[in-house]
Amino acid sequence: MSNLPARAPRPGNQQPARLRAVGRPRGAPRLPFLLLTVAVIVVGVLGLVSLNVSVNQQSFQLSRLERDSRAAESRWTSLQAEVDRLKAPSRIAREAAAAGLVPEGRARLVAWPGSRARDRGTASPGAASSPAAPGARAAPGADPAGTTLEDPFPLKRYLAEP
Amino acid sequence: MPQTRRRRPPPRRRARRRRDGRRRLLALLILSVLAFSAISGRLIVLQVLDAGSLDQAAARQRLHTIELPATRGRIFDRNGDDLALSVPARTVYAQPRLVRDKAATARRLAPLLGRPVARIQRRLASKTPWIYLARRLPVQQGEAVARLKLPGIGVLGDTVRSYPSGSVAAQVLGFVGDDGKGLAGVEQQYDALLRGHAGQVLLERDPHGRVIPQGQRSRESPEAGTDLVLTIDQHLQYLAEQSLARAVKQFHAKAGSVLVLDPRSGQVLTMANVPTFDPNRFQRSRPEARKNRAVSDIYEPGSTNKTITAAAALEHRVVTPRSRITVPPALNLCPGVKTFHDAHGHGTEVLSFADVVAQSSNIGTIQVARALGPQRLAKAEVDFGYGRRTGVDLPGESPGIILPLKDWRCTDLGVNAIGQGVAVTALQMASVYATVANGGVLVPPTLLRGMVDAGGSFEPAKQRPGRRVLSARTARTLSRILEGVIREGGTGTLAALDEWRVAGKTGTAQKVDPKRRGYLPGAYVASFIGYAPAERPAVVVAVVLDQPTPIYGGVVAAPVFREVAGAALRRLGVLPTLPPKAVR
Repeated sequence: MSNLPARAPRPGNQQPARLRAVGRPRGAPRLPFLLLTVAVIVVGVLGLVSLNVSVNQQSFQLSRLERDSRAAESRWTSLQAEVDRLKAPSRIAREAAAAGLVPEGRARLVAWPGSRARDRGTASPGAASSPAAPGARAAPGADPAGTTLEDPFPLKRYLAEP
Repeated sequence: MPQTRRRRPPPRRRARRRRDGRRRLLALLILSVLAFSAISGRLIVLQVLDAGSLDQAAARQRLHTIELPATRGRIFDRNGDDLALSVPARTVYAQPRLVRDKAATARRLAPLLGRPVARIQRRLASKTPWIYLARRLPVQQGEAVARLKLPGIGVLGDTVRSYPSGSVAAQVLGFVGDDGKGLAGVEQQYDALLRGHAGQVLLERDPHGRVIPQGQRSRESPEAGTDLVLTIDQHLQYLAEQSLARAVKQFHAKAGSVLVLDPRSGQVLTMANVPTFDPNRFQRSRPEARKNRAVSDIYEPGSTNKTITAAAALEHRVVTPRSRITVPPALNLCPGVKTFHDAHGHGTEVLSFADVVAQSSNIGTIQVARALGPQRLAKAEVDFGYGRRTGVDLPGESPGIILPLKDWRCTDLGVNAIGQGVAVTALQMASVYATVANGGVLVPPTLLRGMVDAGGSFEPAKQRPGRRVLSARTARTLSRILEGVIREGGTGTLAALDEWRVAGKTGTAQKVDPKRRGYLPGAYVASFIGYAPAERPAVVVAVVLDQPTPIYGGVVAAPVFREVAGAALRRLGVLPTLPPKAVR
């Protein structure tokens, strides 16, 4: 007989779980999973296809717009050339002569007594017969010697054109 | 049944076999190593050493580059009106081998291309794989050809350089060749700026030449050329050309030039030459007509050079306008070599220096030049820009000819004083008078007002610095003397304007014989150069006529000055400085 003290039960060491037989595990429903998978794939593929189509559509649209833009620019240039031809000095002179116009005559300053001359000296043909008032003074912006101070050839606003 | 027992080979044979097997293995190993070394070596060559060039060679096979031409810059006149622009066009080509029915194709193309059927048929019979049928057609015509969808016939996009005002400023603008390169005038001078930079599209193609949709693709957009704004006013240019053409015709001259300058800025408002040409059809023009005589042709200035003699004499206080000059009927400057005469015979007379200039006396001017001395006269000519290009923005400018002082002989003082023995361009002479008009400061002439970049912003051209040639006082005095040329008794009365005071000088110079030494008998260059209003000049106008009849500048060139200067001042809006005759 041993004199060893009885072994104290270990804390938490309960009675061992009793084993029991369990039934055959029930099979998870596969259909929803399959449907979900198929749906994800279909949606994904469709999404990718539609994205691709959209990108390509935009690309086509961009190409078309670029083509239209080039055509419009080309048309604008052709029309500009036509406008330039129409306002060429030789054509204007020809048309003016055909309309019975004559080159401008001598410039006249028109000034009523007591008034300041406002005419800058580039009179119309009709004004050519108007006698200049003696002592008419120069228009504002003109220097005493008769030349204008401002730039007589201001640049046109062609810079705003396309 | 007797049992057959395999005999083991004797031990020596076994050992030999074992050795053979090892040898074979060794040989195999060596062969394998060699084979793998060769493969590895080749791999290194292909993948490392030649990788770059092979990659490029592969890319060359696959990749195809299409050049996108840049739009050539426009050229505007000073007001922003188009003088030159590139407009869309179409080029029709043929691949004769692919054309099935050449006769029928030629018949259908002829009315659209505006060419005879036989000529098109001849072109289509060519053995060349690719030929042009018509280049740079209007877009509508080209599109009509494309709509026919004829086999072997194709249409390409193209551009054509258009000069909407036709021959206006033709020699200034120049023209552009088939390769899009400027060949003359401003088109040549600023070709690098005008042509811009071509772009390109990079495509990957399969062996059949079809574009691979997902292949490598890149696009570099073309950069349009810079637009130029010239100092030319096209309406004034037209008026000057018309006036010059009338004079050339009326006086049976061979050619002529007219220049209008703003003396303060040096800007060239007009540079007209006759004969002229249409740059839209430059191929059909004569080389003579394409020449910009105002800057490339030199002539002896004759009496218009007396202004330099007078300027130097006044500057060095050798004379004053009232100095009395004794003018004999003839002057024997170098006895036995040359005797100088005036244009009209006279006895010995005493003239004021102002009258010497006004009446354009050769002898009086040479008398003054003798007092001035050759050094000072030669220096004055150099100071006024003789013998050097003005640097105007045009190719082919001549520097003129001036004899170095060390080479002057006895008669050279006399001939230089009256404008023979030196050769100048019309622009150089206009620049001389612009210097006097500008108070003695020479501002180099320019044709470029500014540039417009691709973004549309205008950048004014940098003005070259001017330099003082005469004192302001001398310039004023000289100007008053030159006004006397226009007054009654002067040689340039036909240049007078009703509204403005004019200063200027006539010139009638013998024409040098280009083939022999000396002058062409009976051939003269007539000129008038002046400015107005004399008290504050706004324009300098130079008129030069080559071999007119009559020969005198005061008769043939002065009226052109009158027309052009009047038109220029009206266009500039300069107020009249003389009271109207009607109320005098």
